[in-house]
Amino acid sequence: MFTSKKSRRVLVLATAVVGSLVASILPASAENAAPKGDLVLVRNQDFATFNPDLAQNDSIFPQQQIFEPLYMISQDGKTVSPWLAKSSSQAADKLTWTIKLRTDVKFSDGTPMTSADVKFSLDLATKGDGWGFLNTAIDTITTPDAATVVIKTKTPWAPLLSDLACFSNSILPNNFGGKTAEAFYKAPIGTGPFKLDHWTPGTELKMVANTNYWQPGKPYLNSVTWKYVVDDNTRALMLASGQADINEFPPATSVPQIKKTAGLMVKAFPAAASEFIAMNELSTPALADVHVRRALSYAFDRRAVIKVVLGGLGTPSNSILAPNVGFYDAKSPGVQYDLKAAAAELAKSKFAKGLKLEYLATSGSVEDNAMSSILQASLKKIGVTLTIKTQEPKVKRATQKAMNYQLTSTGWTMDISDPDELLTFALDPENGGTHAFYTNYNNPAVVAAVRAGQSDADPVARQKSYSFVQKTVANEAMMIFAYNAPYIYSWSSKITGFQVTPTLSYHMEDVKKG
Amino acid sequence: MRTQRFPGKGIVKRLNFSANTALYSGIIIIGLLALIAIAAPLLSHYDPTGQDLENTLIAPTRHHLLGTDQLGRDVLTRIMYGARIDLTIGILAVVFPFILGTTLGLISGWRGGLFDTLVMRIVDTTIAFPFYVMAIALVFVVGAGPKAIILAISLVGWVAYCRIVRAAVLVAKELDYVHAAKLSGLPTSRILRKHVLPNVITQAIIFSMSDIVLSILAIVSLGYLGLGVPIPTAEWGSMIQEGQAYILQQWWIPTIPGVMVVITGFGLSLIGDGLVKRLNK
Repeated sequence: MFTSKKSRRVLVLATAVVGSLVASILPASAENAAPKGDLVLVRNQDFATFNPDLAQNDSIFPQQQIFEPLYMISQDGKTVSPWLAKSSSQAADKLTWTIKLRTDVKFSDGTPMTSADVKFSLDLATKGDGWGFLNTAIDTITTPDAATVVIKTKTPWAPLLSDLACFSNSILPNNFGGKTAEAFYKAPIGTGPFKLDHWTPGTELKMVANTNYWQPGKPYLNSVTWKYVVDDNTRALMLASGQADINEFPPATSVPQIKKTAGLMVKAFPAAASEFIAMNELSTPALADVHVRRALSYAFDRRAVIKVVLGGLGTPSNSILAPNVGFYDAKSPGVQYDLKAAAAELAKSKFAKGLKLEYLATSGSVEDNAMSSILQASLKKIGVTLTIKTQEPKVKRATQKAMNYQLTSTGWTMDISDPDELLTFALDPENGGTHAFYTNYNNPAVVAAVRAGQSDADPVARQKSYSFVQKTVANEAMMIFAYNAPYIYSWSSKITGFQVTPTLSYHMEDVKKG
Repeated sequence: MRTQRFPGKGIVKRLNFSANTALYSGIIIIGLLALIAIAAPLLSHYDPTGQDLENTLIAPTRHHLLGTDQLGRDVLTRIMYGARIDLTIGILAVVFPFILGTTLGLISGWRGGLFDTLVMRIVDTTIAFPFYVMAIALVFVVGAGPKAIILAISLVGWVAYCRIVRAAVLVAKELDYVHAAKLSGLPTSRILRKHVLPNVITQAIIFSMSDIVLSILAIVSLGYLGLGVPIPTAEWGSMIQEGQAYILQQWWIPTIPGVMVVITGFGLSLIGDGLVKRLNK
């Protein structure tokens, strides 16, 4: 027994030593863990803006670390769940939605988030020229109390919660926290896991942990730096040498090499994204002929393109919707590569004797070079001469929008889990504002089904509408459904917890380093 | 009075190949490249645009000495056919500005006055305009392809010949043999063609050699930017651009076309140096 004073001192000392050893072995409680690790992500996109309404992919992913929406898209991309909201309910009139907010959310400056912030943010987003179209169904927003928001829609609007999960509906402080919009977007305040440290346009954007973040113990990282490095090979070398921790979108063709490299991880995350070849029906009589469009669609060797462009990491597309979008129908009859069927379809058309078409490609694009060259070679075998015209990306987009093209590559990445965003854009010439994805396709039955899907809250009825839409546009080959490519990322094996949703959201609060 | 000899008459003799290693080496290099370009269909049985999607990105083998690209096309065949395109357009893109620039420089230097001032201001304006901006703008107007490239290079390239020839004419027209020709009553057109031009064209010929190199570089650069000869035609610039994605795995796909550009430039530079050495004697 330890009875003497000396013995007691020894006992106290020994207890302290053992205690500290045990403490160091046991995991620290989440609440007490301090953020650690500085993560560097390299990308070929330069961050452009903190204004959600102006954001494109270059800015959306970093913005999502600073601003957050009421609802968050699920990891499979098909549903949404409450995030800054706690719950929601829809009234019997199908027009009134009551949303209860979390009461433990603070902005990075320590100010609590309230319904006034939500109303301000959603009203601002609705007015936006960029993404405001997502909120066109919203009629009024009221705030009965600090933790409740009531949204009334003009018509029954099934995609509302999906719309609220979009980055464009992120919650900002009421009235920009008393600043002007311009000043606010230079030094933004959000509820997200990180806050701005500095931004050097053309070089890097650094953000540091938000110590007021509402999820206990998160983020795990001390900082995240988004570095702009244009060249694919330079980014790969930076990752291999330890100068970077995550490489955003390494070329698919480099995946086998990355897999062989010790200390590096690579993953193809499923994407709610589709690649298409658009056909402008008014550009030439041939493309208004459904048999010609079907012939072109049959003649497109999707697997060959996937092999060349994606090193095999992709799937031939059979629907206007990607498999990771809600209400995707796996039975959608999008035609697949079959040259005999292509010849047979062409024989049924008025252009059986041959045809000349032009494909507008993006200059310098590996994807477009492969798609156009492979289609050209296939079409030559059935008597269709395809010439390839290249234009610089911005000019090509303008040409497409002006509809001065016959065939051109195009693509779509979902921003919300609900298919309505794409289907209205691509198939409803009146509400989509794009002449049906710049194709001039117009089928009143399809338009009616798209609108029915918007208003019907019953998932079974919505599935029926959307299956009809997918089947009809596939049969009529409104576009060539090309392929669905995954999002490819490579990262250091020191990094854990890095996940990407099919709508391209990163949860950096879950990422650890070391 | 004797007029100065027309250098053109003895030009081959004066080149003295055996004593001019640079010229000789350059002609061999460019000659070989031209031979490869002309004989490409005999040297390879592959179609330069023919795809073999079952055999993409294969390493060099006996059947494909430089392997295949991402669409299974034989890289060596595309290199050889690429030489056809790049050398042909490179030469054509120099011929037109050479003729235009030399003619304008000749007349401008001879006549002087308002015409000379006007031509020189156009020259200054053209030089001030960034070449690639003009080339890219023309590609948008005319459409990508050999026509646009030749037009773009010609529109810019003539000014160098114009300045070179004009400067030489300003000197030549004050020399005795020109005065003698004038006094003997020869018409101006004959004096310019038979007496002045042969004596002032030397520098323009020498410059044209390095100009072909610059033209080929421009063609390759436009091809690299995807604004040159439309795909899938084999062309070195687009081959470099398309192969760039595979440089860490199949480095030779983008590298060999680049090396071909270097070899062509080297050969033409040697010819240019050799011409300087001989024709300036």
